[in-house]
Amino acid sequence: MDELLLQLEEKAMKEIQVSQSPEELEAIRVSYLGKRGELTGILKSLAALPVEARREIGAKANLLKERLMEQMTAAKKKLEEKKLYEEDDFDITLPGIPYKEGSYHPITLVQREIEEIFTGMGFLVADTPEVETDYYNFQALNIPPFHPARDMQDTYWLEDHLVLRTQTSAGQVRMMEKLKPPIRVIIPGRCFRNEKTDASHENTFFQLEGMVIDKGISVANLLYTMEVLLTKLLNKKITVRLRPGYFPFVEPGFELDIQCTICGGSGCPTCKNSGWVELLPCGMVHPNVLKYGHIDVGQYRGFAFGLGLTRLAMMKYNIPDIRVFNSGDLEILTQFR
Amino acid sequence: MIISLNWIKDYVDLNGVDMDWLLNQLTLKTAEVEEIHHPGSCIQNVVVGKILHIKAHPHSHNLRIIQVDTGDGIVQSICGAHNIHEGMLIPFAKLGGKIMGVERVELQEIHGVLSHGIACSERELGITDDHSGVVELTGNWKPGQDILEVLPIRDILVEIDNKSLTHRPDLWCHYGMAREIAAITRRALKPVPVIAEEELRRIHAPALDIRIEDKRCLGYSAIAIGGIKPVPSPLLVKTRLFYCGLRPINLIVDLTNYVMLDIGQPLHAFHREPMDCVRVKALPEAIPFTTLDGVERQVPSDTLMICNSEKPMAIAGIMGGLESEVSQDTESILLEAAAFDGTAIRKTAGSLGLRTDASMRYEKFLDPLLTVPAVGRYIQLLASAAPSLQFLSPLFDVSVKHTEDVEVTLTHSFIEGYLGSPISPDTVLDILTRLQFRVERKENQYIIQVPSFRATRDIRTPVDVVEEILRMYGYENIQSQPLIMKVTPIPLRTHRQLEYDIKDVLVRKFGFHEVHTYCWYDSLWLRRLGYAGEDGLRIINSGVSQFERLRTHMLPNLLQAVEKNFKDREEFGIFEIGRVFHRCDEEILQPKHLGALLYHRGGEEESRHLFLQMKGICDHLLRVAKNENPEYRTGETHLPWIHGKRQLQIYCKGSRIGSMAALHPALSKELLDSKSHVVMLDLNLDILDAIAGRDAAYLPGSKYPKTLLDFSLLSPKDMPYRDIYGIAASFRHSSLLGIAYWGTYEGDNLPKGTKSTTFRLQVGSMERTLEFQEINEVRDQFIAHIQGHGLNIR
Repeated sequence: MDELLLQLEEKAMKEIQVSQSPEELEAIRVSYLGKRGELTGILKSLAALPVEARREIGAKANLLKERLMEQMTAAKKKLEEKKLYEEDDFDITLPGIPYKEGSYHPITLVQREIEEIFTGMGFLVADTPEVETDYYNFQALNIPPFHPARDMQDTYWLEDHLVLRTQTSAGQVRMMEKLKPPIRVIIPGRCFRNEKTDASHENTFFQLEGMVIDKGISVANLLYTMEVLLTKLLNKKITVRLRPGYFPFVEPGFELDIQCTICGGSGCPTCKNSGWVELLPCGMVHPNVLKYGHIDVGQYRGFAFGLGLTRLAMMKYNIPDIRVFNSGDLEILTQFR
Repeated sequence: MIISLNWIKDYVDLNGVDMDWLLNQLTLKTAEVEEIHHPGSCIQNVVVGKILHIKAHPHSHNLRIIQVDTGDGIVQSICGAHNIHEGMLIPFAKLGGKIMGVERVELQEIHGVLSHGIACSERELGITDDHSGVVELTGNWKPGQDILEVLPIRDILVEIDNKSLTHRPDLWCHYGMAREIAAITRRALKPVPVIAEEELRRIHAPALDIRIEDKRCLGYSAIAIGGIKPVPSPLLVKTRLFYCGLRPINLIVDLTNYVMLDIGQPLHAFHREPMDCVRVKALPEAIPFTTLDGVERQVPSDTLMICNSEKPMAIAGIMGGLESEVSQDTESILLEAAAFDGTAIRKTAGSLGLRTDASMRYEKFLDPLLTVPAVGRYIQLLASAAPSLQFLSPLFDVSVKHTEDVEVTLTHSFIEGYLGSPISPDTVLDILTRLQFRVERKENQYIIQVPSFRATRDIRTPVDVVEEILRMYGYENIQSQPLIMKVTPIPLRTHRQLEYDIKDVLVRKFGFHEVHTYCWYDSLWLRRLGYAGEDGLRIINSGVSQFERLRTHMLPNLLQAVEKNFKDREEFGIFEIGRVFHRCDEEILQPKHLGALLYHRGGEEESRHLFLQMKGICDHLLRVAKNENPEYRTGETHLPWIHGKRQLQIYCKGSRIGSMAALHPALSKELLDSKSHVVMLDLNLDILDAIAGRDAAYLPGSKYPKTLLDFSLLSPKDMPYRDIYGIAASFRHSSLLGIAYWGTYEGDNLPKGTKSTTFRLQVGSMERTLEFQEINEVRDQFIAHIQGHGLNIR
């Protein structure tokens, strides 16, 4: 009897394997498992056997039945797949349905990235006015009337001694008045200089002011903060250096250079062969400015820096002409996503 | 400013100092070196030549033939200069040599005579732009000697960024720079050669009649000199002036300029004759005054002037007058070295629009103690160039207001606090001493006497001294250190979050493009819009009247951006978030606004669709930003770009947050074309930000099936949707879960003058599945409700 089951299995498996259609498979099923099927016949004949043999053979026959069913289901699925594949003529290489895609202004992209870096370090993001008073834009920054430093900037004057702010530093004393130390704040925004526009000069541009005031703040902290900012921003280890720079609202005042990222410091046209690129002015907040902000200079010190967002965006996206930013030219602006 | 390293070497021995290192140190410790020039680098094979013989050129009146001893032989050359004589020593460019403007000196035939080299002018050597004659070399030079050993042609010129010197009046001269370089290189600084003050005071001659009648003059030194022979300025003086950007004029003037570039003190030489006396005083009323440059200028009243007994002769600290100008032949002068208040000079220079080398220095507050040394230096130089001079007066010197001595006290820990790391007291002492500060150390304290040349403004407080210490210590020696602060919560930045939410929705969801426009109007564009825009704040010095009014609305400039872009596009959206500016009583308001525009080319259907599209965008923005629904009210504003009928005022929780409107069709046609449609949205983000948003609130969902019932309401065609919706939405029933607009139909198969508005009602229960009968009951009640309001169900 065992022998019979083995032969039957071998035969049935072969037939399943070579079957070409679901119809054929159905015929095979009927021929083995149908009412008059071969395996059904064997199961029926078991009644004549002794109890011991009936139990043993019965179990084997039932297992075989299950195996055959499994094989037939698998073979059926395979055949159906094949059919689906042969009959489907949809061309999936056609292009995707286009959805309207917008674009951000490049300043938004750069500004947001820097804001992320600074909020991660616990800085507040603040906005201060674009139309400023002479007081906040100049006097409170240690630039009294007729100070030679006023020449360093060409100012747009409005009536009543108001100005279009020439620098985001104008927000320094405003934030000192509003917050109490420890202060960590950045002030991004539009600034204005009354000058003729060309590929590298614009009368309207973006800066980002940063200011930290607390006990025990040192030049070493300023350096660290700048290193973190630039390394994160440019996504590589950046070497920076400080050198003297004059701005009346900081003392000591610095120009911060970064080692040229194009040539690595060996000298190239981008860095005018110096190996360094001037990036941002910074310094320790002048005690006079702290006094204007009602900060106790006996207790607190601070540092400040001014990052040119527009210039940074030009560097980051290789924009050769600064006039692009305010052009409203969708031919170009739609690239920034 | 240009610095000549040859000149620096007069005061500091730079033997063995690597120049690249030095200039880099100057950038790192003092001021930025912007550019470096190497004059004389192109001069080659030019030697001392001796003119042995001169004869006329056979074919030219203007030319002569000279025989020149060049040390290694005698050559013939053709010369057009008139100042030559036999026995004269000249710079002579030999064949194959190189001079300015001549790449290679070649054998030339000039009118039939061969010329074997060139007798050089100052211009050909590059030391000035004078081409009027051949350079005459004075001194015992041997023919054949290389000219580069004889004349200071080779130099290194260093261009320093003026901006980085704004606070350093002491660095506007070579001696000041030499002082820094001596400190950097740790080498000795030599004194400036001068005729001593005592010697000048002892002169036996009538004293000058000088009175200072205005406190803006802080000091005045003067002396009268006669017997000056009309000799040319020494070549060294001319070369250095020229290299530093000044044009040599004549000995008297050149030496005033030389002293200014040498030690930083501007000098003025008056013709002696008109200066019967000197009165330094304010101008009582505005006058026309002709300055040295021959320009008649209107000088405002109260300007500080240098006058004789009758009238003004110079504008103090800025420029002399034409009337007292010295010339080549002037024999006697009144030399002035004065100290003026920097602010006063700056004001005058500003009001006259005349910034001179002198005013640029004065306005930075020069050391008033410089005036006497400047006179002494001038006379020392003049005496060696024109030994015949005589003194017509003793030195006059008065200091109206002596600078106070500046003393700064600071502690060692103060310095280390700025530095962020330890520094040894010896280093501090060494640095300050090298910079010529006098320092007394008392335990943890330094008591510092600031030298007069740093004391006028630059160094007053402890931090000023800290800067000196840190820069000389070397910023590169400072190790960066992280900030250590208390972790305190940062105030929420709701406004920025709102801005970014709006930007993200518009860009990511609705495909808008963000642009920036200027924050002032273009008046020519406003005229095309038919808008005066004169309520905006005015820039008083824009220089271009077209761009002087600050924007009061976002939309005009954005419309201009549409005009720039519409031609190549079927449809697009742009937006900007920026400030607009209003004067409100005495206050200036500058709220941030969103201005957004949708453009679509098409017919009336597109135009309507566009309007509703913008409305949907606005709905969505409000839900994202505040989880609120806006309320739209019709209402009229009269801006010329707004379509009078198609405008809505937008409210949120009772506050007006903005408006939306279609562009006026007439403007649309004129600015764009007849197929163009624009819809505009303007939201005041300051107001929107101030509105408290709604948190999401939990509502339990129903597990039981809901039924959707659609009803089409037939209404008069001109009945606004808002009213129809009002009727539908006022229906109340305990099983009604929601009601939504499904569409409007206007078609032929409706009764004339009517339209059909479809609403979908959602009906169900939280507790069970509704019976068929219950649903029918809702249906019947809703129909009765509608009919009760005079409308029919289709």
